Amino acid sequence: MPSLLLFLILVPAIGVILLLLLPSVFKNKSFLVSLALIIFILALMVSYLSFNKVFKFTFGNLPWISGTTNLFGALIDPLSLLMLTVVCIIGAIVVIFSTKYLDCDNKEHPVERGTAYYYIWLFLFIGSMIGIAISPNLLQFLIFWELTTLCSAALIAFYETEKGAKAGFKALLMTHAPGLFFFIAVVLLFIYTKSFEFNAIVELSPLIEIIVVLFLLISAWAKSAQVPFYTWLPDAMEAPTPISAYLHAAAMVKAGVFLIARIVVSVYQLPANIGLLIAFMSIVTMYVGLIFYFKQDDLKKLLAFSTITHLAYILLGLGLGTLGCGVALKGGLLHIICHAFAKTILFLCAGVISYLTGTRYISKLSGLSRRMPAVAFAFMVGVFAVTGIPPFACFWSKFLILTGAINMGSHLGVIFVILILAESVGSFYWFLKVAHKIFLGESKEEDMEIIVPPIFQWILIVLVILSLAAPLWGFMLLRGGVR
Amino acid sequence: MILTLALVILTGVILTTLTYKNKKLCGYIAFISVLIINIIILKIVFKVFSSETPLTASFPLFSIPSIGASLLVSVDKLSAIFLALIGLVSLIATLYSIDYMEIYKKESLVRFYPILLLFIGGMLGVVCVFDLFFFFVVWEFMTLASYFLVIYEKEDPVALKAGFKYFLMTHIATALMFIAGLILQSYTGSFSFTAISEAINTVSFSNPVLLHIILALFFIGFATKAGVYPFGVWLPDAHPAAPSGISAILSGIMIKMGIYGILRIFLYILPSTSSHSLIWGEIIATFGVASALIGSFSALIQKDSKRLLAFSSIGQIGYIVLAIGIGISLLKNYPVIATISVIAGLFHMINHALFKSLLFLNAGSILYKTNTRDLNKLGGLWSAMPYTTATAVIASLSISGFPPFNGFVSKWLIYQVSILGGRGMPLYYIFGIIAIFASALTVAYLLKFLSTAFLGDLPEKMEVSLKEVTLNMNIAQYILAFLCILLGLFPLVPLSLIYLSLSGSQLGSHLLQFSYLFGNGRNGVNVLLNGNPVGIWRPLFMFFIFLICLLLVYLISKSCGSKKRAVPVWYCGEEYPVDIVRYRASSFYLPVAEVFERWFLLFPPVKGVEKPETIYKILDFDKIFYYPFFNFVVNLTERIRKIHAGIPQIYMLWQIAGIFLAILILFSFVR
Repeated sequence: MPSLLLFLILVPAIGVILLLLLPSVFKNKSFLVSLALIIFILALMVSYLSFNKVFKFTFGNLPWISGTTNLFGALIDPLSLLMLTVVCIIGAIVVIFSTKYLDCDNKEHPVERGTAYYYIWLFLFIGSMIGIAISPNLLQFLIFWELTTLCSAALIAFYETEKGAKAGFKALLMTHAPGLFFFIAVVLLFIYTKSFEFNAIVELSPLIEIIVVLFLLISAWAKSAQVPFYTWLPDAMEAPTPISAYLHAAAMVKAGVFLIARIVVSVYQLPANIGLLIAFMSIVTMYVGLIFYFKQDDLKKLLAFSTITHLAYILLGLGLGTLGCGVALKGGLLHIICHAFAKTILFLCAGVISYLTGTRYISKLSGLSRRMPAVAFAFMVGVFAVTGIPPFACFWSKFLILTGAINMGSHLGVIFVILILAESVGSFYWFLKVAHKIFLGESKEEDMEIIVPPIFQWILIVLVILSLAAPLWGFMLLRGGVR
Repeated sequence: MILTLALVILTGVILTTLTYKNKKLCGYIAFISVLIINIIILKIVFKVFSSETPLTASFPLFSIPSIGASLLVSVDKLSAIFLALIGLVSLIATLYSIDYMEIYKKESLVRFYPILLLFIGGMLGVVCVFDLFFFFVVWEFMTLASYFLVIYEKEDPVALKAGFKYFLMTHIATALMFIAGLILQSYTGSFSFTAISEAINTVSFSNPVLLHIILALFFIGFATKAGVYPFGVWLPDAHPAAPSGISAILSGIMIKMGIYGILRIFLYILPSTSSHSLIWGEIIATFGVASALIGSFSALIQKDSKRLLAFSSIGQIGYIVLAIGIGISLLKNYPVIATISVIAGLFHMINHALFKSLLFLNAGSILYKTNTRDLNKLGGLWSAMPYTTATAVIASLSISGFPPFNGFVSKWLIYQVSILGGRGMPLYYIFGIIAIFASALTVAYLLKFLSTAFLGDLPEKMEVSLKEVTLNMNIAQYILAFLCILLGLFPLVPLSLIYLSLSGSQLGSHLLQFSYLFGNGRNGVNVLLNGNPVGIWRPLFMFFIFLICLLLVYLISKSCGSKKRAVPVWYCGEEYPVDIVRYRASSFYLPVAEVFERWFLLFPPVKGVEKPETIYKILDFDKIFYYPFFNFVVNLTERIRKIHAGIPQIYMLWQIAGIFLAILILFSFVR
């Protein structure tokens, strides 16, 4: 098992090194696809072997900080398995998608050279996300966290336009500056408890505990694009669409909520005020996201705001979990995996549309289902999955959060339920309207010669099947309880 | 057996997806799947009716223990009746669709038959599931499948708008039901119907106002699906937009799922000892009669054949809901009237499924042959499509309540219970009168439908070679017409079956004997109130008399020996072409059209909401804070940068100043 985990981190690292050394040789598509598949299979093996067991493995220490306790390693428990499956499976799919997406036939952004750097950053990112998912303490978490910020900024600016460079810089600043809060929190934790473990927070005095958790919250909010730090995510849509799908919907922004999830799960009794704060800010973020839907003409910006809203759902579940509600905690964690798959479908459909028609503006698209029936089908499945229509993915997690909110017993729970359902119906209305506009209705003359490359269709169908299986997998993982 | 059903549906879906290129083969595969489903349903129904307790099955694999939801399936006699109805109408509609789908040249069948099978599966699931959470799951799944079928013509903006409105309205209604279900679950921690019953019981004692809110939410949710007047305004757009076989299923059985929900909540789960039954029964009956009246009025002025039939559905659902409402409200005080009333409502529901599906199939046949739904352009189809005309006439007479067809029995029973129910609540006398008046309206709009479509002369623009529709479609129509006549002649059979299904309900706790209610004559229905007959109907006898009269007419006309001759219509000496003098659909009931538009605002206009720009300005954090802050920091650093002037002498000045500062600090600390 330790060797498997070692391979899991080493495979992307090897990919990075080989691509750095000999870019023209290893830019080969089959090499990249096989690397992706190896990561995918390794993740599956790890999941299979460690199902229902908790496994911890550490090595390496920094004697001047921690003495003889090991600092780096891996912790595999249901929560990290959840994150690991999301990261590796969607990562593999995104790599395979990118091999076709970044070529000269792309009508929106034709790319002819320089793709080696794309894959270097992408594999580095996959490796750092795996590091975050399996990290056993806050120090390793912090190190890989900052690495992901770097990769994200580099990948956003990939197309080397001015807008892209500005967006990348903005993302870097707006996630790194609050990341310093994370840094201070870790240092404070170490000063007071001499340990970096997640549950060391319990040993802090109440005032310091609130400060530490608050600082962690601030950095998590910035990373996950919540209010008031959300403005970097819509601009980050300058990135290539597979990157938007992976970093800014499925993986990197989930790192923030994953941090809070780790804290909530490891610390048994967080102060109730923190829970209320998380819940309140997540409701505010939900509605801010919803309000911005109606203004967007750019499909990817709309999906970015939808991501912001759904991360708020996850945080709401976690906040309610802090207030004592186990069902809502489960719902929030399940939403991580369900939303990742559903949003990836939507983003990759947007990618295929922009690849084939050269535009991603909703007002310019119409009647596309005639030539792209598979893409239309996947997009509709994605819309229903994201807005919570059974039996698709996010319904199950949303319903768990709703049940948890009501079971809290107070009137606050009913208010939360009404607010969540109102937002859910509002986003359903808008997304269905957008889907009708883009895919149904009259087709345009210039779209009549479109032929969808088969690999895109296969990827989308695989994703649809995975998104149906995702809630089942999530339920199996969380069945034994997370604590 | 449930697993076999699921398996059959799944295989059907896969096979039809694979064979979608070959239209006829795909249709027949779908038909055979539905046939097998029907056989399994018949077995289940038979088993349920021959045993005392409902059939149950549970699938613990699909359970979520943390919220108390588990997939429990329970088929009691009420579910069995619905299952039989769903099976029958789906079978006939699928048979019809095999040939009907030829009119869609551009649309692919892969979006039709697989989704149709999933839709049927969804409906079957709705009536069998015994757990509120999974009920919601299957309910929304059924709505999802029907949405795809309504927007089948995906390039037609009218169909798209109709489907969108339908899905949005039912989704909002379901979200309201979620709230109610969640509140109930929090009392007992489980979603199964038995736990929900206990929860309702608890809430009715501890917090009656909350129970009113919960019941209101459930009622709105189910009434939206059923098409009751204010909530069902999606019906007139969605039913015409779908292909005709689907319209038949939507109008025939899917809106009955709303009725099923209302029955389950108000009759089977709500305890009869509470005062909530009384109040809610009256509210439901009021909505019902409003639906009957306004639906029928609106149908009078329609020019589109399917839209007319959709409004007619709203009207007839009003009757069903009226009867069920009266039953629920009189539960405690007049159990006899309540029982008869619920039985009448359910019987009308079955009848409506039969004759409304038949009418939609007829409208579909007209569309198939003449390619138009506009009643202004149709006419004289009796000569080209005699069999379709015959079945349309049978359906219209049934729906209007003519003896000896099935609609007569159910409508007559509904009038009886509303007048009799006036003892319990005087308002019901007025409801009865309105119901009878709405029946007259029903005759009126069906007269419009029949005479504009079928009677008269063929318009010249239509093909002279207009022929009857194909055999499959005809057989489908015949079966329904035959069933209309059969249920009309032998009404006691379905009435007794429905009566048996009430045993699980709140009525069943002191259910009176069937013969006490309806008499035990084989050849007719006696309505008995405390042993005294208040109404008698002998259908076979009347049918016999009717046949004798027909025979007399035939004999008399034969014996006179008069010849029949066909002459053109007399227009006072002028010769007009048929198209100019035809009495078009728009000319019918003009006074009603004028009054109606003024008095009933059926579809309130929805103003478009403009995007409020101020909110976006307030929420633009970039402009308010981040960019100014960033610029401030950059300006600050620009100013500090000016220290590096590039002139070596300035740097030496800084160094000397620094040395002075260091010496100062050293001296102030070293003391």
